[in-house]
Amino acid sequence: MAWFDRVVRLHERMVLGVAYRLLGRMEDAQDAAQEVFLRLLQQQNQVQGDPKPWLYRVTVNVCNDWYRKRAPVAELHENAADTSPDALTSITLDERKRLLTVGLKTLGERERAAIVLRDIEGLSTQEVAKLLGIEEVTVRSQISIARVKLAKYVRKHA
Amino acid sequence: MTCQECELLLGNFEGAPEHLAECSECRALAEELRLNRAALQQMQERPAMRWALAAAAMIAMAIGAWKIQPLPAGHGHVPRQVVAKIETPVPVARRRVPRAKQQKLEPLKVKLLTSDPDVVIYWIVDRKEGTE
Repeated sequence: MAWFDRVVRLHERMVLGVAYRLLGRMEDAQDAAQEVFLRLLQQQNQVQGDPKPWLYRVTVNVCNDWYRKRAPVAELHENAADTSPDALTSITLDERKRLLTVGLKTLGERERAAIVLRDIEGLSTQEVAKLLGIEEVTVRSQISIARVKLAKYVRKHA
Repeated sequence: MTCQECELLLGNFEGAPEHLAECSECRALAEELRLNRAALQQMQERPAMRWALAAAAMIAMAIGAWKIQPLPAGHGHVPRQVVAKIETPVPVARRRVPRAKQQKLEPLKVKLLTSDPDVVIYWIVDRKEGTE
């Protein structure tokens, strides 16, 4: 159990952070993180070497399953949209982050996972492709589309 | 270049300077992408897990899951005390109950058939206390 304890203590925040970005609700992210570590407990003999890639992959899978099972409820309330051109330049960083958090929920699960892993977690395109089990070129395309969608979402709701 | 083609390039932070110079819509999008990129990089939060609650729930779930699907034998992380519980020889207590009551037992007669139909062996066994 010492190995398991060490992995949990080392990576719990990372797992919770990714789950939160993918699900958008801390309560759901807590549950998802528990599910990830339960799977780790059950399958720890399959995890060899650095457990981080395994944790990323399982976190994405658990969150995708979660998303399919129940429609996520927005934790952050969307304000009434101000679409005037002047509003675009005036939003603060916190407001932008809030809009991005809500905007992430509007993406498809693959796009969301790709952008969370690539742009928030800072993994390389190659690493994201490996974790999601898809081609690098596909990841690049999904990320590009997701970024544009998010940018348009922020512009519309800022 | 169309705006759609430009968007694909901008999404990968690749330049399309000629189009941007003449299209204010794509210029605004490029600026939005740049600001979002900076914001997303700062969104790598590491919230603390409510560890006590989580650990309690995990242990409860793990025990339940372990009972349903035990880990392979010889697995290095199986808690020893749980293995010991499974190996506790429960039938010992059951044997002791009839031992006190069965004082006199009838001899056991075993009929052994052989390949020759005319030859039958009877084996009479004196049963001792405690045997069944």
